[in-house]
Amino acid sequence: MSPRLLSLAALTLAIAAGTLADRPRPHPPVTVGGHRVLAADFHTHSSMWSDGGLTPWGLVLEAERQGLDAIAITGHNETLDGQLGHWFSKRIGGPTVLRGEEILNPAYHMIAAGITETVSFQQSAARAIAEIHRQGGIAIAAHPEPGFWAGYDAAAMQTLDAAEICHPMIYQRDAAQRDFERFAARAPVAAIGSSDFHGLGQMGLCRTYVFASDNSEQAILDAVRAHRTVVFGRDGQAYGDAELVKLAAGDRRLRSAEPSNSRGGWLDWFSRIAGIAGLAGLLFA
Amino acid sequence: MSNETRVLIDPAGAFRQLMREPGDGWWIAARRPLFLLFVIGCVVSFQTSGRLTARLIVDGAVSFAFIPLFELVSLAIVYRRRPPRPVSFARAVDLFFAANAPWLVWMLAFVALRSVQTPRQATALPLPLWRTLELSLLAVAAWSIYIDLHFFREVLPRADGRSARDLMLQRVVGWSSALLYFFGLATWPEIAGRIFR
Repeated sequence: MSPRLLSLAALTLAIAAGTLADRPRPHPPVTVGGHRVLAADFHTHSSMWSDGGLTPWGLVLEAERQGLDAIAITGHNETLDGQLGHWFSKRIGGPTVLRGEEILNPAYHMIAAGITETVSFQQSAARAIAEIHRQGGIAIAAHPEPGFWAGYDAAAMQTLDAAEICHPMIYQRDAAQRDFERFAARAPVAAIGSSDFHGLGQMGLCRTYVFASDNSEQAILDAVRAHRTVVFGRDGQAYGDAELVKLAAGDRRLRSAEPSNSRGGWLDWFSRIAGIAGLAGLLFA
Repeated sequence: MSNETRVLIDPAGAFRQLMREPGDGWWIAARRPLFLLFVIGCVVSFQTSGRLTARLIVDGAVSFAFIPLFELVSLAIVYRRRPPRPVSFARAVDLFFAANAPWLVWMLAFVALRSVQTPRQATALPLPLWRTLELSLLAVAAWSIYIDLHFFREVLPRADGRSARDLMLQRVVGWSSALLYFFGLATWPEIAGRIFR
């Protein structure tokens, strides 16, 4: 057999093994203290003009695989991919998709979730929040590093709904978790965990447990506005509404719903090794 | 040894030899752009899930279809401007995409790195590693320029010998379009943010 054919065979087996292992995580509905607890990721990017790796419909399918009940698709200063993902998920009965936007202003980055039209980035944070609220959405401070704090002045902090307290940055920089805590301490805001998913790594690595009445968009937005969220940060520390944190601590189901940090089983390893060998063979042999 | 390997080792000699090979038509023009898309789809699948899955390979290929598309358009513009043309457009496309070999090697190394990472390490890449990857991209871009320069010299030669102009035109059209598409509406606030913050 020629090296090229061998490489093709290895790739075919790698894709077959990987596809077999590509099953959605089971996530039966969780009810705690009379609330339906939904796992949500409010910060994801698609490949449509927002430097993501997956299409809007690909994000929906990946959210399902990661056991997420809801996501916000947050295009950079645009909402078209959010609209597409929202439409697609409705068609297939997938997770709840909030149409969103990551407003990128030189002074601040802000997630607008549950909106219908693009919010201009050429305005102050306070005015952007007012526009988000006018559309019925929620405003979340995105990865509020110290460089963005000045962008959130007193007027903005008064009306801000939530802030990311768990973001992949907390695993990159020791100071990031403390920075996000200090930002959240400036005003009473809901705690949010988001993966800022661009296609690299795991969607929902950081996620928000939303204590809602049901899994509708409106119920999720209402719950965040009422600060009914719990987030697990670095080293498993819980953040959010004190009563709900207590409830969550007494219920193992939320901890066990956290994403696994495992490299996977034998099918994953086989897919990786055979895949790399196959690609290398096609490229070099 | 594959044609890509030959291009990596001796670009001028490889292009001279490959130009003499027979073959024309849509498959010759399509095979290497499709291979590039397949490899990109594999990279997306590895990065997102740590394995190869049909769903993610297809989605990644759809997501990044703009890369070969803009490469094709930019090559077509240069090709049209430079008669006489020693090879057909289909053959020019095939050879031009063979010059993507440095990028393919980089992508292979990138997925090899991902294959030993945990999901958390892959999502939150340690900053020194992130910087190393960025620097390695610069090295690959320089290597790719060197190979593409040989492509324009050997495959689409100019009487005045100024192949660097063709390369520059291709890069300006192809790369700026691709970057604008990928980073989209966020390009300007993002640049301004990095400068003024």
